[in-house]
Amino acid sequence: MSSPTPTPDPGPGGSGDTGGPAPAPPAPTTATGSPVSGQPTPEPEATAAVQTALRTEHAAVWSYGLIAAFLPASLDPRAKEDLAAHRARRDATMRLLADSGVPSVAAEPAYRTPNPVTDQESAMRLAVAAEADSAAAWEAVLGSCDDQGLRHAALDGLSDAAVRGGRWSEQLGESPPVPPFPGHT
Amino acid sequence: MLLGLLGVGAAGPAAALLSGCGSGEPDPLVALIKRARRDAALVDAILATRPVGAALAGRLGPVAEARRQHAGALTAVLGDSAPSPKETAPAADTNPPSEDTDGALSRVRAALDEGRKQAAALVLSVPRAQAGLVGSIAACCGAYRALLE
Repeated sequence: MSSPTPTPDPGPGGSGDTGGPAPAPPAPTTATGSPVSGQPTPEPEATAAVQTALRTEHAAVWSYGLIAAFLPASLDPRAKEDLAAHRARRDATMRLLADSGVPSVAAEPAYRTPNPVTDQESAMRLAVAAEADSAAAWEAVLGSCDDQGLRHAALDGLSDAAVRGGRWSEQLGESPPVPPFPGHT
Repeated sequence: MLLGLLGVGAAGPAAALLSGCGSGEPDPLVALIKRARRDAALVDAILATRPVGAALAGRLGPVAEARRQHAGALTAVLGDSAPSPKETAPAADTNPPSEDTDGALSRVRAALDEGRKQAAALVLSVPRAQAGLVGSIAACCGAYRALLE
């Protein structure tokens, strides 16, 4: 999949190299200090994977705001539905982290899209890219943990992204509309 | 506390997997391979039926290809433990259905539902190294199921 995440946009005052890759985000924050006796310790690998998934949900919420501006009225309900789904998953993911005592990564003020969004087609391609990134991030969560509850949540994130991405791809007339292994490389 | 799993949480699935080793029980991925091959054969049979197959080629062709790729990837994971294609030859009940497009689509939807459920159930217990692949297969089946609505 060649669908880079909409990356944080450093903005006009940002540190420079707009032609290169976006600056690496700060390392995922994990709980600090010694675990309280009897309290589970957040697993660094799973925590990092969930934070990455949360970043893609933040990016998707931002992206659908942009996407909606370029869609005809007939596709507006779908964009609204997808935006609502990403907001719900973002919020659920933040609760999940909070329940483990881990601060959530915040949304960026703006993101740089993989390609300019100027019309309906490029808007739908951004939706496909955002869903592919979300799918990949949740797929990575699956391989980062053993807990069934977290795997269940990750599978939901992966599956829902695959459905939404498939619908936008189908709308674009792409074949296959669904990759054989969504999110998996 | 889903992120806080050490020790106890991780021991469950690992212990279950270890107990399966050497006991002669087939790897749980074998069932996934069999179903994926069966689904590909089912869709191929539908596509070979005229005129239904011609009408559905655009929508179902990618489904057959995806299920073939699922079987291939799982077979690669299992290596010598994978079932031979002969073992998973389609049963007689997958004879080409002589029905209309609605009936054919209904059969594929049901197959994808089962494929998604099977992989989704297994994703909870497979080793980490397999969880992404199995989950991705579940997601693919679910997405095609949704598109065939």
